[in-house]
Amino acid sequence: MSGIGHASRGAGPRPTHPAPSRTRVHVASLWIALGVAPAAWGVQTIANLSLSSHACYPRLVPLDVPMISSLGATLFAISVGAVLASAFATVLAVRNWRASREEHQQHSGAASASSPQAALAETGEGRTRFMAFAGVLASSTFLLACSVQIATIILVTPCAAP
Amino acid sequence: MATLAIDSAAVEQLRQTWETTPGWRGVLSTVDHKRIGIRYLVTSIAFLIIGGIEALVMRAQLTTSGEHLVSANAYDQLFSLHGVTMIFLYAAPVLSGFSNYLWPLMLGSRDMAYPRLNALSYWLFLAAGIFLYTSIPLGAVPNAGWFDYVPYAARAYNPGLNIDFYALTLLLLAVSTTVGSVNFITTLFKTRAPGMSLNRLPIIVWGTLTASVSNLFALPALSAALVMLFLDRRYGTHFFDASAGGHPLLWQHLFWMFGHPWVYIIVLPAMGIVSDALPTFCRRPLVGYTFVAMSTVATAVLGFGVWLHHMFATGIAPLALAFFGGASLVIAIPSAVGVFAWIATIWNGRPWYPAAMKFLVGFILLFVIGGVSGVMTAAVPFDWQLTDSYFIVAHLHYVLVGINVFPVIAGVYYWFPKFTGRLMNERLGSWNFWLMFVGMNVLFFPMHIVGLLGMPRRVYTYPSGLGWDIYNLIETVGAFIFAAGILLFAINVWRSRTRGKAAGANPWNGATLEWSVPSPPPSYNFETIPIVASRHPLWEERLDEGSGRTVFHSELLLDEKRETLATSPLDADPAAIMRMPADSYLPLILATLLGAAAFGFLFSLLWLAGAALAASTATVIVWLWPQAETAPDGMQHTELGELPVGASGTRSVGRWGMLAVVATEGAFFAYLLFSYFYLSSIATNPWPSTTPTLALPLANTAILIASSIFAIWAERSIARGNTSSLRAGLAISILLGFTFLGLQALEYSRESISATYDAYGSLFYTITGFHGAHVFVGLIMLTVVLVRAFRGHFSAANHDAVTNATIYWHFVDIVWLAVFSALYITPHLRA
Repeated sequence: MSGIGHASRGAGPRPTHPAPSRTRVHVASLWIALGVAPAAWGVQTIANLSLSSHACYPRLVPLDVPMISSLGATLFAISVGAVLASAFATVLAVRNWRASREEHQQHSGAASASSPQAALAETGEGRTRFMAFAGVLASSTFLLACSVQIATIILVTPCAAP
Repeated sequence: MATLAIDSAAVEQLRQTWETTPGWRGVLSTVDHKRIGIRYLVTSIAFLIIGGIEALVMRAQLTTSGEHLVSANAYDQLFSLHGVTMIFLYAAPVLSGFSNYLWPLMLGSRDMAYPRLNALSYWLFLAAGIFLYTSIPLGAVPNAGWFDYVPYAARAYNPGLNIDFYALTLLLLAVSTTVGSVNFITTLFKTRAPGMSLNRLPIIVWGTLTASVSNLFALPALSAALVMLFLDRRYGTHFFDASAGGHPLLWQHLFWMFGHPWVYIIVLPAMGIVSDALPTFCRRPLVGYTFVAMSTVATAVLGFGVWLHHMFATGIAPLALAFFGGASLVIAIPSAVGVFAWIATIWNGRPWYPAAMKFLVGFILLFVIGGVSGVMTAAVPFDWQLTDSYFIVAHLHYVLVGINVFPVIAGVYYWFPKFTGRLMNERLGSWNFWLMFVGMNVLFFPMHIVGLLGMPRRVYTYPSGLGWDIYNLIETVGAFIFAAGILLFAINVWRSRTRGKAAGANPWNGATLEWSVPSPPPSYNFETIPIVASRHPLWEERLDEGSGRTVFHSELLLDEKRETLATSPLDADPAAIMRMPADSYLPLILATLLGAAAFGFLFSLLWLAGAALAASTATVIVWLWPQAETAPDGMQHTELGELPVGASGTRSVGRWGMLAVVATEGAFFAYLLFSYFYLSSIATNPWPSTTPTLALPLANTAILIASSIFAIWAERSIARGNTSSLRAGLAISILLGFTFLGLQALEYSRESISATYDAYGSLFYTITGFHGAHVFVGLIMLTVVLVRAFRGHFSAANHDAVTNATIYWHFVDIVWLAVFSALYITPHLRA
């Protein structure tokens, strides 16, 4: 490799590892916290759509009353399962977050000095805490999305023949 | 920023290594991401102008009631061509242009992970555009709208080549977009500069990454639908034929399973442009980086679960509609996060307003209007009133023009100095903005009103006396004002590229890595690979931010061949020194062959299609054949430790590419199987019409599983350095694979099911046929690997090709298990 000896480094301290807390929170825990709630919502959506559509329009015949007598209870059970899975992911995400939120906080610079809480979202410094915080946001968003379907089951009439 | 002290001989060597050959040879063979990015931008903006001219003709026709500028048939073709051009040939490719140009510069790399795939992606895009527009001289322009609903698009009602042009154009584009997405994903996870951990990515990178992952799972829905449509039209299958067990709603489901994610695919990277450029003009970091990054991903994920809101008026059960109405309301939350972040950034910053910033602020206003009208259509009863009215035309144009065109123009103003070394004219830019902003609102806002007054979309004329005339007149005036703005933009680009003020490396005082290199950047991008310490490498001193200070001139010169650094997916820890391929004609050749295959299918010249596909296969084999310039070459000591040169295994990019291909292919089969279960659940005629026999397929299942076991044995053998077992294992796997195909042919000859009898038969042969085609492709891979094994290409330390081929082979087997369960087992359960 020619030229190495002639290259010079930038001024200032050499960068340290972007994720010093990576050993404190297992990467699998970070991915579970990020992925479980969206996956639960996906399963809930597909299952609820399939069941509610088929129960009300079996073989293209619109019904006033679902042909599956326990449709409401089944959809409710699926949705409760999705909400519980999302809630689990949210709790896990918060735990991950608590374990990693100090990561690189001292390197948030001017933003951190004026507003430490804002610096957290502002700079995103620290890869572990970034992923942990992203898990909190993702889980809570999809927890809401799963919960909306429960409200829908309670509020909306399942079938309506024209 | 550090001083540069790299000797000129090293720089000259880098230049010679990376620079494209001058002249036509270089034009046709270059794989430089910057050239490809510019080509994407120029070509897609040319399509924007062409699509805009089509829109102007439509607006002229609608200026007053009872106009006869164009006929009804010509109008059908105009709005279809306009939609396809804008959505498929402009809106997505233009964002690929930005990302192709900017990603390696932003990520601290010397090129994309797969430079030749990058070139292929562009050439295929161009081929698709040319293919579509040959429909004009042939008088067969697509005419069933950009979403091409059946039965309008069925052969019975549309017997010309029009819809076939549509289907084959979009299939070519699907290949282009898929290979581009595989490239973006691999580039992001494998070729960032050391230190550029996930939390330090520019937001445009998050946007394009999210769009690329979405492409892998959304595009197969469109591809599956297009294949079925083409088979229905040309070969008498019945996927969308309600009289034979198919259903037109299957098209709508598949199209919108693709179509709604596509909306986010063409806006999220554009929103990324805003998130990265706006802070520069506010002289402060983006407020809420983590929120914006995560809302980008969450919007895309939620976008996969709202497709039904395009089908509220099709007669689906109320509860099912309500689930999707709810999800469509929830998606407003992550979508709005960006708006609050941008407003807060302006509020807390010290903004200044050059032309680029004007477009950014204009975008925010248009986004809010388009977003609010979108939330309105999430309410099912309200949507029933709005469906197929001009209100929807207004909404979708506020979204697509407001959230795509405005950020794109802003992006051009912002990065033009980087592209050319010159600034665009600000006075022209200001006129450009006001003409476009005023024109846009005069054009599209009245469409809300005229839609609420009852004007349906896609009418070529309308009677007077309905109160629509004045609004249409205003809209047409707005259209020409908007067009004048676009014209001014084109003039500004043309003038400024040679007469603009010299820009320097960082004319806006931007924070990200692309502003650390000269404008325009040299062919090798960075003299040395930087080591990144924060998300704002050029603002670290001012913000006192980062885990140290970014090293702009490290000792990572990497000048032996076309080299860049491979790093780990999360933290960008150094993993290897990658050697990149040189310029090549192969991408152009492959794109030309696939274009020829499309013409073969279009004109039913199956010999041409077959020959072109066979030649394409040969081209791919030559492409993948190992080259000396990229071969592994021992270890090298660097300031970041000992690194292998020419990566293999998990350090390489090949594994990521294969996994991405498997993911998108898996999605393709998932959509085919969805179609099977959907039609079986609504079929009113007997399903299945004939129950398939089990004995032969069961034997075939055992054979395919056995072949996978031998492939595992082969791969494990070479991992221990045992070449003879590798050869034996591969040979047995291949033999079993051919046995599978032979038995499947035997089964076909015995089955009483017909592909043209009903939808069940159509699905049975299409799904098993496509699986058979995948088995054949897998066998070609294994055979090539076997030939290479006999030539002594593999060792315990270097057998990537074996691993990748076996991954594909296992995928083919797993898909068969799903196909076998669905097509062979479930009919017996129903019986």
